[in-house]
Amino acid sequence: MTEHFHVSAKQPTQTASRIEGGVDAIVVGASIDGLIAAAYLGKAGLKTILLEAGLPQPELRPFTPGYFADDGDFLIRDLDAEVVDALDLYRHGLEFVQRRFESIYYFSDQSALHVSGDLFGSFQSIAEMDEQDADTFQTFAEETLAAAKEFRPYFNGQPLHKLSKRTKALFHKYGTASIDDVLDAHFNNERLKDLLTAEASLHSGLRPSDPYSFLSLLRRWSGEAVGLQGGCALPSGGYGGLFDALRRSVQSAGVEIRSGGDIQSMLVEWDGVGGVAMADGSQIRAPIVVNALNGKKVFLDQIGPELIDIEFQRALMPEPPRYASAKIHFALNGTPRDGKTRLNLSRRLVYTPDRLEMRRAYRMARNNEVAAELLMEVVFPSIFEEGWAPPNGNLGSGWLHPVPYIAGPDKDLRERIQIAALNTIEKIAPGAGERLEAIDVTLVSDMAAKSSLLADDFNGAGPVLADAKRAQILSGTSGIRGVFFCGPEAQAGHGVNGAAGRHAGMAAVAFSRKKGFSA
Amino acid sequence: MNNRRQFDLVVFGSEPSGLAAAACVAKAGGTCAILKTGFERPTIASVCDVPNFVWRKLNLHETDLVTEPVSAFVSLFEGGTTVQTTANDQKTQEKLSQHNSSDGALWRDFKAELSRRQSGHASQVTNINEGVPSLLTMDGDITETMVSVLNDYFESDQLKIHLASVAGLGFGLGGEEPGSVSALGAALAKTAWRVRDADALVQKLNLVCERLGVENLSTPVRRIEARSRRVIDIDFELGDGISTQYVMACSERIARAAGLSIKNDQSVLSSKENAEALIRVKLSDQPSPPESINDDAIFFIAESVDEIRAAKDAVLEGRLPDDPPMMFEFGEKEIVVRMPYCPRIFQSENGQREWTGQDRQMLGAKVVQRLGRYLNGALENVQRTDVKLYGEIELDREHPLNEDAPEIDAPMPDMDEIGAATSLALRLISRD
Repeated sequence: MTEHFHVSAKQPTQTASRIEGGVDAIVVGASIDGLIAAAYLGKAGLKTILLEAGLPQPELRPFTPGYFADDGDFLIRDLDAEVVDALDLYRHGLEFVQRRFESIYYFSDQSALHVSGDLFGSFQSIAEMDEQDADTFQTFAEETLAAAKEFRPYFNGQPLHKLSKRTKALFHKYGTASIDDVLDAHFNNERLKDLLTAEASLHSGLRPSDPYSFLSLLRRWSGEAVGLQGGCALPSGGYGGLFDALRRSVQSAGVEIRSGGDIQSMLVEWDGVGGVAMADGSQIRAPIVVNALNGKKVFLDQIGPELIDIEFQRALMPEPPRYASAKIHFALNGTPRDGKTRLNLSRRLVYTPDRLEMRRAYRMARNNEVAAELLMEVVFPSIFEEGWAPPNGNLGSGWLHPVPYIAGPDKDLRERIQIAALNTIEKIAPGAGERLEAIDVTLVSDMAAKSSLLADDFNGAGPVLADAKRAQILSGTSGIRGVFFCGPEAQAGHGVNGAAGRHAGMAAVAFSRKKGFSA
Repeated sequence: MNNRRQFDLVVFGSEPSGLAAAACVAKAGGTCAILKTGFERPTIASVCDVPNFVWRKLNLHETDLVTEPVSAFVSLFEGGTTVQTTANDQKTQEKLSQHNSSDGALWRDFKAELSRRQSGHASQVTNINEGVPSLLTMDGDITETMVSVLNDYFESDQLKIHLASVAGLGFGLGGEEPGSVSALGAALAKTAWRVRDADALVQKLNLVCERLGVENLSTPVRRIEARSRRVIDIDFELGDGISTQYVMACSERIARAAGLSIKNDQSVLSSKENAEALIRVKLSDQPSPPESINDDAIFFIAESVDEIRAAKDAVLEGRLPDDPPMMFEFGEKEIVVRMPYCPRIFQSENGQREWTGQDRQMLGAKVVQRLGRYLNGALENVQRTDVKLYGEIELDREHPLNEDAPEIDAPMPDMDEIGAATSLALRLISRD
């Protein structure tokens, strides 16, 4: 590389006011979306610098001796297929250890239902539960899945393309509906309703009785894991595995990655961006800055509200969500080592409260309380990954929902969620509580503390329509030429997705090709 | 039964909205029948006003009908403070400014913003065929909540509680449902204002219906069947029956009570979980309102926005709220209370349970006790408390109508009930 590039955190700067030029684009924030944007820029031949900017690389965290927690979003439900393709992620080491989780739903009356990983193939098991509803479910699922697929680009930030007549009709009928109403209109079997309510509720900030909540299910089913719509998958190495593949892709695209480096401000000259100013006083100049950090911080602190488009500003200040999901990891000792247990633990286990319990749980979460048992989704990564748990134990990882949304640290809340986790695990596997060595609870505030983002970043929990609209505005123009955004607010919905990074990267490339004449 | 009588439209429910809708269709040249269901609200206290277009279509000025608007919406608070809004924005602004000048100054802006959103909501409802894009590209945030918009605009907690009461109690909402902002718009719209003396209005509307040849039927319905795409048969318990081209209910509530399912019942404002209690507190003397307020207002009681939310939560969980928010009016030696946060059915660990006489009594006692705290002394001479429920579920009762009954039309929930029902009826008839 040229002599311009010997500024990095590892090599402390000699002069405090160094100005660096000859850079085409800067990406701030090594998040999944930041990496994706950087890779797109690099692959297009632009000289690109990726500043990690305080976002740590994912690593496994030992939470009790011998057991390792994955702090990222390890369950893949909606990884943008175009990104996987365009960045050759499989060649860079992306691999899935479980491509389609089968699910077992445990109901509050202690019955259980085993459902294949493919929604299209799940009619059989539902028929065993309720013949009449199985037929209805087949039609319902086919219709909803087809509609969800058509809506996927919209959820992922593109304007609506042409919708089929059938999808229009479905959307018109259920666009404002609550999941409760839709299920009551279709089904008689209470357990089937509980199951679908659970699927629609995970990570959602809407109660199942709320208007627009049906769209949460549509959003959930619009996702695709390894080509399977509505499924979920586990990458080898968990979230870190996916991250590493992306990082390698970024490196092979010729992007320079710099660790550290606190951003002081974004340089704005006239109506366009000029680069970034670092905390140590140095500057990197570039006509394109893609930002993957918290939008509020970037646009309101680093740029200043007076330069930002008003609609854009409004989109940056969504209301904080009222409900959150808590992530749990637990250490389960002394699991039988037979094949049957192993098979069981290779599935996705869901504790499915009945609808009355769910309503109570939501009400309690709203009042800063935690219900006795919660909706729980859990998988066992130690079945697939050597060394994540000791030979005689297993690691369970998953989410509990809903819990109160509290932005700051709260020790008491953690303890109450631990109790709820214990109760819920007992519901799935009576007696397992005695073999639990530890339960680790990750709250919204913990994630915020770790990644130097604000707690609000982890919402993705408003009504889907509002989230999608906000994402669309934020991935558009901010009023400053050359600034592109793919921070957490630019995504609608929970989990690793990557479409925001792709949009930002592609928009930045197009901007550069047109020599900055239009965004 | 080949000699069935033929109608263009049959309207379920003889509430003012049903009467007006039927009359307007008849006036436009259609043949129309009204079916009394037995689930109509009694015509005591106030009703929704007749919107101008209906008034003119029916030439109501010829009937010497005079409607008298209620004077204000008033919230009472413990400690004796009150907040009121009236139909007149100027007056409301002045009143609000006395408490908090910035809230008063924002009143008109707030109303303008609501009506802007309201027109968006209306186009979303009516543009059925373009429904999808209009919902997704709607200007303004249609998923916003009542509570967040109130917080955006106003400082005074009591004003926020007042407005949340007016809108929340009107539709049985808790205020945090996404999209509930449109309840505010619907409840504070000019057309939503209510008028006194429901009896007179119903009488005049009945008269108009009679003159226009609207058939008024009150025989119980046995089954409804779609004979063809254009013809629906309605059979009565007594053996005879009628045929009609269209069927509608005058409100969603009536349709559900009569066991009918509704086409497109996915309005953000419908609260399917709620039953509503009408509580008549009979007194030996004429009660009087708190000082300096006219007795022809509609009064609201809720101490906090959280209380309204908690009441809705209780409905969702199938129990009675601890502190029931309520609205009431003064009548002839009585106070008429509406409490829209009643569960349709009680839920507990042991399963579901219907409303019992005991539940009604308990609710009545709760309401009287709470009322007493706000109307100092006025409730010492209670003679009797009648509690009637609308919309509760009776577990043993068979589904009242046949399972294969066709879905019928019903107006979207609106405070302007007459306007909503009439425009729906006219739209149905003009489809040909």
